[in-house]
Amino acid sequence: MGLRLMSDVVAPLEEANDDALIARWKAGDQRAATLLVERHSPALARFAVSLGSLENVEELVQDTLVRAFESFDGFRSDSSLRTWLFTILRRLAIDRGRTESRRREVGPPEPGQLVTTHGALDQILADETQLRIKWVMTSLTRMQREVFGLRVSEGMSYREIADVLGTTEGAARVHYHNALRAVKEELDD
Amino acid sequence: MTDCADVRVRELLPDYLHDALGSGDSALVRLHLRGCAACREELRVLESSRRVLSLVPSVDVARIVSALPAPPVSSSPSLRLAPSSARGWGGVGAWRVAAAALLMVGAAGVVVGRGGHWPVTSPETSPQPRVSYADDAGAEMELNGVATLAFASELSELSDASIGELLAEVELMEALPAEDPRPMVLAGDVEPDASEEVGGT
Repeated sequence: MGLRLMSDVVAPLEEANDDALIARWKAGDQRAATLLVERHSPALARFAVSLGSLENVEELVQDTLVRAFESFDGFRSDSSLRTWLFTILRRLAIDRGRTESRRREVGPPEPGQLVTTHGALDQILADETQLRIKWVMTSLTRMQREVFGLRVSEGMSYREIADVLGTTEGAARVHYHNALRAVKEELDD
Repeated sequence: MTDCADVRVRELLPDYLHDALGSGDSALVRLHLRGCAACREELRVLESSRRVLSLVPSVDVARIVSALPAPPVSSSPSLRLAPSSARGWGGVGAWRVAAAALLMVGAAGVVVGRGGHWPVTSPETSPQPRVSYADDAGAEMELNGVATLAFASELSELSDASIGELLAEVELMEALPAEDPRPMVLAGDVEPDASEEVGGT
């Protein structure tokens, strides 16, 4: 008397969209939860770093996903799950004051300090261009850094960025171009 | 580094970087890049920036998954998972077993409360709507001549419809007065004979 989900017949679980995975998890399938975490945690980690949460990335990502799984009933599928997750993560980060504390702790490093300031990650950044970009990111405003990260790293549209950050498409576009100008100016020096 | 005056193409560069453009826009950008050094340079800056922004600590997926709340198992038939041998009694089928067991206990309680036997109508007047209850060795129960249930081994195989029927039967039996000595006829199954009218005067 085997009852099977339609999605079992249509496509493998790995190819199911987010809505289908959420439904599977609600039905008790723990593999769906693992796939959702695997699918979204790298982007959440990148966004957490762009918010300035370099040292507590995993904790912030975990808390975001726990919060999301606790409140999937409040998720409206007319927006993407990733956009919704970014919104939760950003709210958590702001609530904890991580952005401001990081800005106080890091400060503008000397060029020779870049590798030691950011640890193992910078060993990968042998290229001077990348070091300079990393440096200029610390000089951007929080909103510029968030918009630039979402646009360049995640490929989000201005509409999606505006939804995540609670701003307008026009403002997101301005922040993007200001951030890009700052990066280009740093590289021109 | 001078910015290109073609704002439209510049706006498309991040999407071009992510290979997210349609064929028309993608061809437009590709053609523009051939003749525009400023946009080629801007694209290189975006590529480098993307690489930098992608360098983040890896996260432990298993640890995050272990911290997630337990799923609220849905009762929606469309979302019910197939019971498997691996899932056993702890899986989705467990509620069926529990419901069936409660049903059996409830039915037995009604029988015991009525003196341990079923007051049934005579075969001549009502051959079909009978309810029998075998001893523990037989452990078999027959209701309405339709649903025969093996007590122990196949409870988890009950369908929703069968459980619904059994629940309806129990409710009907419990609604009857315990000290009523008259034969029981299940409503709607047989037209009562005028001489043996149930609940008559």
